[in-house]
This record gives sequence, C-alpha cells and structure tokens, in this order.
Amino acid sequence: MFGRKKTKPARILLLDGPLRPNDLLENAEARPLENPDDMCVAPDGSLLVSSGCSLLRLRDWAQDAFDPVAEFSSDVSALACRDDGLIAVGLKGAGIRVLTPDGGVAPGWVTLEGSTKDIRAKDIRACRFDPDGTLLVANASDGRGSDTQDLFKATGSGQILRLGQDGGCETVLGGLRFPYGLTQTGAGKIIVSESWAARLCEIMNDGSPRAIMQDAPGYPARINPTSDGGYILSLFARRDPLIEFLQSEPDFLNRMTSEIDPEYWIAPRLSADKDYRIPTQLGATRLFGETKPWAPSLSYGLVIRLDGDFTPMASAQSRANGVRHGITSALEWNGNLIALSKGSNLLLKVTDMDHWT
Amino acid sequence: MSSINNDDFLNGLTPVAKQRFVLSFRRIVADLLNRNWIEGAIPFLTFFVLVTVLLITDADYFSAANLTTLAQYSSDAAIVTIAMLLVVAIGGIDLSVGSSFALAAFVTLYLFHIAGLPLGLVFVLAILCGASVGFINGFLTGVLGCGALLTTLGTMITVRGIFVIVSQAYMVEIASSSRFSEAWDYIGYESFMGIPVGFWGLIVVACAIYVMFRNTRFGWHILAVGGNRKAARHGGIQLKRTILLTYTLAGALVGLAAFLFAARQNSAGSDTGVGLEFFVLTGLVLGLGGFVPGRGKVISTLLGFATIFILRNALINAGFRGDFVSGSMGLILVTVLAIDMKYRKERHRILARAYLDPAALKVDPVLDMGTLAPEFGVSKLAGADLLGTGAVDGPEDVILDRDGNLYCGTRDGRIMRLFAPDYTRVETYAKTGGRPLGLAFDEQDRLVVCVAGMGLYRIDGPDQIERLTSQTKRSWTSLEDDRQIRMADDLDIAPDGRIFFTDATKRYEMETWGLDLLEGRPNGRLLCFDPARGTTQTVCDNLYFPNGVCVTHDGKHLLVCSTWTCSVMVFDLARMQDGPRYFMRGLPGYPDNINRASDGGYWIALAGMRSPVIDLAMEDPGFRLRMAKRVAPTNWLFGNLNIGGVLKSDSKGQIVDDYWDKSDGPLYMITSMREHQGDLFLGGVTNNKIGRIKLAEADQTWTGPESYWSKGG
Repeated sequence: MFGRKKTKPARILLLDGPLRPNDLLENAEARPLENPDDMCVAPDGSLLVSSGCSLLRLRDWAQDAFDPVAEFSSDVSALACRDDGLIAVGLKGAGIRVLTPDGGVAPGWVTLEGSTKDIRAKDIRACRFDPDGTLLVANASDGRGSDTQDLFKATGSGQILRLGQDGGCETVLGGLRFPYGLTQTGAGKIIVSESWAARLCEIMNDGSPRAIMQDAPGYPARINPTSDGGYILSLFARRDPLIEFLQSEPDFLNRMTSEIDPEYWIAPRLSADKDYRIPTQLGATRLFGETKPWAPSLSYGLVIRLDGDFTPMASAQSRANGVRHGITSALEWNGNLIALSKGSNLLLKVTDMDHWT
Repeated sequence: MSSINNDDFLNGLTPVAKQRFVLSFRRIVADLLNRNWIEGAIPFLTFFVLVTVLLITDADYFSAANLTTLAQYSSDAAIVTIAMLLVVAIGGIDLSVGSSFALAAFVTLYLFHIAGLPLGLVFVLAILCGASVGFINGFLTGVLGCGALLTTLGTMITVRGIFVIVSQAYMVEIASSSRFSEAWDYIGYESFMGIPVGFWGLIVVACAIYVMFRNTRFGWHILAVGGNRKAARHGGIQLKRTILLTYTLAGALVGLAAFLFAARQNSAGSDTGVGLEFFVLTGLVLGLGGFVPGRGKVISTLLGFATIFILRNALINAGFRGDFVSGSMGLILVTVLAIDMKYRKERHRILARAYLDPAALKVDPVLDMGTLAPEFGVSKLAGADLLGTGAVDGPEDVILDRDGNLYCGTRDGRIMRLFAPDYTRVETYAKTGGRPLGLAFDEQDRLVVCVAGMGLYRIDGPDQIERLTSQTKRSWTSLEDDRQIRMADDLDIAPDGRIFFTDATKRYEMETWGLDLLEGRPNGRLLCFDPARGTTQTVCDNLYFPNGVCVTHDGKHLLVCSTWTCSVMVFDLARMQDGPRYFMRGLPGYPDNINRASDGGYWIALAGMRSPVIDLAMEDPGFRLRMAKRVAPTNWLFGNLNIGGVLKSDSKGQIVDDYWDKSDGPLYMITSMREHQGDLFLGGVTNNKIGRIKLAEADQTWTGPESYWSKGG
C-alpha cells in the first residue's frame, strides 16, 4: 500500500495482427541437428549450418546427411559468407576464423583470439561481410558470466567490429545491449539486433545507433535479408512480464544470481524443458493434463518477417505447448523459410508458405 | 506392523514452532475495510467529533434544559428524515416533503381551530393529508413510472401553491382562534418522563421503522427494490405496490411530523417547511455516507440528522448569519457526496491491495533423497491405467469402499461413483453444491466429505446428504469473522468417531487459494467435529495450508500435511493441546493428501514441486507483494503444479519410495492416492482422469475400510 516509487511497466508488442499466434514452426518439416547455432546461404546456393564445433553443408533439403566442411576447437557461434565464397566463422570464446570455400584458412585476417586493451571478442554472435569486402562482427558481451546474467546488467558491453583482409580491426560502435544479429540495408546501412534492448538499431553515419523497431515481443537474434527487400528476424525467446518485473528488483536478482544454479533462474530459455526445478508461472498450470498454448512461458519459438521498413508483416511460431523454441537463426532458402531451433536441436523448413508470405 | 506409538520416538521429533496469531498492520487495514460496520462508523465519528468540539467550546450546550429544547424542536424534522430514508431506500427521492409538511400543518391548524374537530380526528386527518400527497407521488413514480426527481419536484411546487393560497385565506383567522385544549398543549409543550412528547413520537417512529427494515417482509421488499429493482422483480416482488405503499407511508410520516409541528408552533407561516427537503437530505446523506438506495439504516440516518441539526443550531447560537449557515449546510452536503463517491470507487481497490499480505517463510531445504527424485527415478507412473477419463472433472480425493467401488469429487460439486471392477460405469452419487475435496468412510460405511466453501458433510446414501458442520468457534485474535469454515480440505476419522479435518485457509477461496502461497502466512487450521456431541472445535489454529489428514495405523496419532512448508506434522490424539511435531520435513514438493499404505507406512501426494526460485521468493515478502501488484496474475511466479508425484514413507517418516510420471505425462498434479487390494489409485484436482498402478509387492488383500474399521461394519 505504501510501496516504493512506481516504475512503468515495460511496453511489449502484443502477439496480434501479423504476429497473431500460429503453429507454422510447430508443423514445419524438421531435421535433427545437434547443438545448432547459426546458418547462412553460400554463393553456390548451399546452406551452411553450424552444429557444435562443426561446420556442415546442406545442398538440398532431401539430402540424407549433412556434408562436413570444417571442424573447430570450440563451438561455432556465428557464420557469414562472402560473394566469392569466403566463409567467416565466429567461435565461442575463441575469436573468429575466415576460411576459403574449401575449408582452408584464408590469409590476412586477424583471429581476435587474444584480447587487446579495447577489444575482447569473447562472445561473437554474428558476422556479415560488407559489400566492400570487410567483415562486420557483433561481439554480444564482454563474455563475463552467462548470457542471462548479461540481461540483468543495466548497461550493455556489446560491440560492433570491422575487420579487414589486411589484418585491420576497428570498433564501429560499443555499449550495445547484446547485439545478436547483423545485416545491412540496400543502402549499405548497418542494422543490429540488440537482444536485451528488444529492438533493432540502425547505425547512423556519425556512428550512433537509432532504433528502427522497438518493444519487440521477444529477444531478437539473427536478422537476414530476403529476396524481396525485406528481412527475417528470429527471436530466441518471448519477453515475459515476470522477467521485466525482475529487472526492477535488484535485491532479489542479486540473491537469485548468486545463490541459484543459472539453469533454474527466472530468465529467457532456449528450450521448452519441463524440469521440475525450472520456475513456472501461475497461468502455465496445466488443466486436464494439457498445456495451454497461450500459457506464459520462458521459452518460445518466434520468427518475424519484416518489410523493407522493418514493419512486421507475418510470423511463424511455436507456442507454449510446443517444443520448437529458441530460434536463433532464420532465413529464406530456395523459396522456403528455414529456421534453426536451438532449443529443440532441429532444423525446420516451413512449407505452409501461404501463411508466411 | 511397525508403529509410531512410542513416546520416545514422538518425543524425539522437533516440535513445530507455534504461531499464536498474526499481527500485521496491512491485515488490520484490510480486515477493517472488509467489515460492514465500517461505513456506519463514519457518521458516528463525525457526530462524535462535533459533540467533542461543542463540549470544549461551550460547556453549557449539553445542559439538561438545552437538550430538552433541542429534542422538542428536532423531532418533527427527524421524522421527516426517516420518511426520506424510506423513499431513498426504495431508490427514489421525495422533494415534496417540505410542501407536504406545510400543507399538513395547515390542515391540522384549520381542522383544530376553525373546523373545531376533536383532536383524535384532527390527528388522523393530518396523517391522511400527508399520506395522500405521498400516494400521489407513489402513484406517479411507482405505477406510472415517472422519474422520482421530476415528479416530486412537480408535487412540491403544486402543493406549495395550494398551501400558499389556503394559508393566506385562513392564517389570520387561525391566529386569532381561541380554541383551547389541554391535550393539544400537552403534545406541543409538555414532557413525559422528562422527554418532550414530540420526541416520544420520533422514538416510536424510529423503532417501528427500524423493526420494519430488519424484521418485516415489507421492509425487506423495500430494500430489495432499492438494491436492485430488476432482481427484485424477478424475485417475485410486486414493484408497483411496494413503491406506492412506501411513498404513502413516507407521506403519512410527514403528516405526523406536521401534526407535531403544528401543536408546538400553533401557527404556520409562508416559510413553513421551506428548504426542509434539503435540510433532511443533508442529514440523510451525512448519515448514510452518501446517497445509497437499498439501505435502511435508521440509526446512522438519525445520527447524521443530529449532526446537521446540532451543527446548525450551534452555528446560529454562535451568532452566524442564517444564510451563512445554509451555505455551510450545502457545502457539507457536496463534500460528503464527493468523499463518498471517491471512497466507494476506491474501497475495493484499497481492499484488494491491502488484502494480500505476504510474510517471510523460510521453507526447509530439500532433504537429500538420494536417487529418489524425479531426475533420477524411473517414471513409475508412466503407463498407468487411466480411469474415468473425461467423466470426472477434478478428482481432488479418491476413495474406495469395501466392494472396491471408486468415489471422487468433481469441480461442479458432484460426488461420482465409478463401479468396480473395470470402472467404466460412472454415476453421480450425490450433489454437494460446493467443491468436494477430502473423502473418508466412517464406521457405518458412510462417506464423509469436506466441501470447500461449505463445510463438513456426510452422505448416507445416493443423494442423501447431510451437513455435519459449517462453523467453528471464533478466534479472539482475528478481526475478521473466522467462524465460517472456508476451505474444508481433507479429513480423517479417529477410532472414537471424532472427525479431524483441515480448513486450509481462512482468507481465500477455492478459486483464489493460490494467493495463499503468495501470502505465505499460517492462515489454516485443524478442526475437530465430534458426532457424539455435535460440536466443532478448532484443535490447532495458524497452520501453513494444512491439507491432508491421516490417522496413523495404531489409531493414536494424527498426520497432517502442511503444504506451503513442505512438511508433514504429527499430533498425539490423546494430547492434541501439545501441538504438532515434524513427522517429515524438507519434502521436494508441496504435499497434499496423506493416506495409509498396506505395509504400515504412508502415501504422500505431491501436488506440485518446489523450485529454488520460489523458495527464494518465499523468503522475500516484499518481492511477492510488488509482484502481485505489478504483474498480471497469469505471470506470477508460482510453485510448479505441472509435475507432481507420490512419495512413500515408512511408519517413522523415512521416505522409502517415489513415483513420478514423465514430465509431460497425464498424471502431473497428484493430490490424492488410495491403496486398495494391491492397486494404487491417483487423483488430481486439475485432472480429468484417475490413474491406477499395480503395486506388485503390496498386500493384495489390504483395503482402507478394513484397515480403519476392520471387517463387517
């Protein structure tokens, strides 16, 4: 009754209109893929996907097994391809490697394996080649603590870096709240998806960010352009009012993060695990054994199609009663929507394109 | 068969810390706001403040002589206020009381002085004069359905016009009349037993109307019509007749008041009764705390009137100008209405905010069960038979009779019977009208059932249901009336026939019990009903959501699950006053029901599981309070009710086995289980099926009724 100062509740876009819930992801065709994270389309039309420490290639959806391309010492955390077939691979905690199309090491590029005074690229989540041939890299955080711990920090430590074939490396922009995706507009502007800020930013000519889509219903991950000039944005979890509320509770948050195993925090989750120690919300209680599709859930499957002005046009979803959650990357491949569900270790192909386009 | 009937064993257990009462400012505010008399307290307080101020400033004001004068002059307006209360109570208003009062006063004087009628007849005709104006008002508003405000405004102007015409014609004649009557002067000036006669009239009227509103059919009809006209009509009340009669009665009271006034003043001027309607309305509004139909509060209304009357009187005595005093009255009227509107709008909001009153609750850390935890266990419930799927909605408790028939309660208030041996035939055994939860068979094989929202009931046969108890004694520490049993949850019957049952929470209902977890306070109690004497007693108050109840195998102890503290308590039936001790603590989930197992141990149903985060939140009441205010209920952090299980303990409270379903399996929130001839039946309050698994190693002949009441019965 005599509470502390009120903070405004977070604005979150409703899942309505073009974002109206559907089961496109839940009903999509699926291929099992161990520990996937990112993917990109190579100039030859094949799909490059990461699976743990391996880089795999898929030439055709019906192909029996993935072709191995390369193997690394740590998990692949970002992928990009240049028009000439050069492949950039971000590695978890171990910088970046640039490969030739056949999997050999391309000369000249820095690996960012160690740290310098300004650059500590321990958490590379996205990369993309600029048309001028340089490589843009998104380093999501300073890599200290877990991802969700970063969510609960007040300020961002993410950076956008630009690497050159000459071994150059410069910071384009710092202080971002978990940049997880990168793309460029037709005009050459850099677009960054900032997960914990739940928005998309455009980097202006003076180097400052400007929000072009805000209050996203989930935490945006990778963003990829489509053939019709729009974009496909994957969101790895839905924003939850309880998590937003938690961010205004520093004392509780401190105790939770220091005393409890991160696996059992109130935090966005990639997978729809049902371990009994995972916190649940009142509305998620099952009735007659059924999980309500509209139940609050810490994990969710969500892909949004944006037009050239970043206005949502359509979405593909896997709801609270589904399992294809934690979509970290989605793109257009051979006219189909391909999504990568890190939460369920599946590569998905949405075939019901009528509801998508 | 091992037994816990061993004092050494029992004394070795830790006593449960006793919660004597809950003292919380927030709760006091909430409980006060929840009381009905709180609204009546406002006029009383205003009156009290006024009297205090007068006592300080003018010591002589409350002298006997002044009080007598006040009583003499206030009684006629007070009676008019009661008349106004009648009309307001039925949902109308009467602006014509002032004019009607003046006309009736004139009629009284005319009949007495000029027509020279006997005083008794004058009395009757004065009342009739008032009643006829009331009848016209009632006919226009009640029968023809005209708006009360405009109709009575019309009568006010018309009657005033008539009064002015006739009074001008006869006033001089009346004033010069020499008729003298002792009775007339007695009514006007004298006192009976120290109280002015006019005031006796007020006392009689107030008592009569008070009794009418409380105890008579007509009074109840008025309140019903005022409270909700449509509902009253649907309830079979004759609206037109009731409204007509109410206005007529109010008019008659105005006539009576005018008669008393005429006897006192012995004259009537052109200003008689002018502004009276607004004066009595101010008193009424002050007394009722607003303009509320459907309330027949005579005492509050008179207090409000007294406040306004004394205030006016005191202001005039203090030398303020009359128009200033009138202005003050108007200001008071507007202020009270504004405060009232704001209060009425905010009351439920303040109440809702203050009602949830979280407290810190440190739940014992989860005990180390070795490999007996869902993450290790084989899903022993996976592949269970599912019985009655779709036919039973929410079987919180399940029980089997001697013939193996299965009984359970449902969300829509029925007790269902599933017939042995295949349980495909399902019939409604009885309808309770509440939410049946815990079940038990007594020695005569009658089903005793806890019905949430109603109390303890016994079913003697199909559709023969009898209430055993619905109330216990009120506890003296609680501001809230806690006599009513709010959420009777589970029961068990001791060998001597006493029925022990839990009232899981005194502050929430079946639909809102989840808030009790967020509150984390000892809101529940253990009750005992003695069928021999027909009495209900609170055996142990202030428990944390006491849930399942089980009399031990030796019949000498009582096990009670405390859901929010994740523990099982044990009482000694011979020494209940000693309070409980911990039988088991640090369970990995929220225990619901507890029942006997065939090997001398006990089955414990876990309705849901604890998570580390909810345990942490239970220690932080501020977090829960702010969450409840700022986050929608659907997003409240809660215990995990999507996974449950069954634990088996030996006779001394050591966990010896565990049963879980797969994390997305059909048997998730398990609230009860009964063993019967080598089978274990499982119920869940949010499920629509009953599970059954085979217990290969259990005694294949053991049944509950035989364990309790041996053979026969």
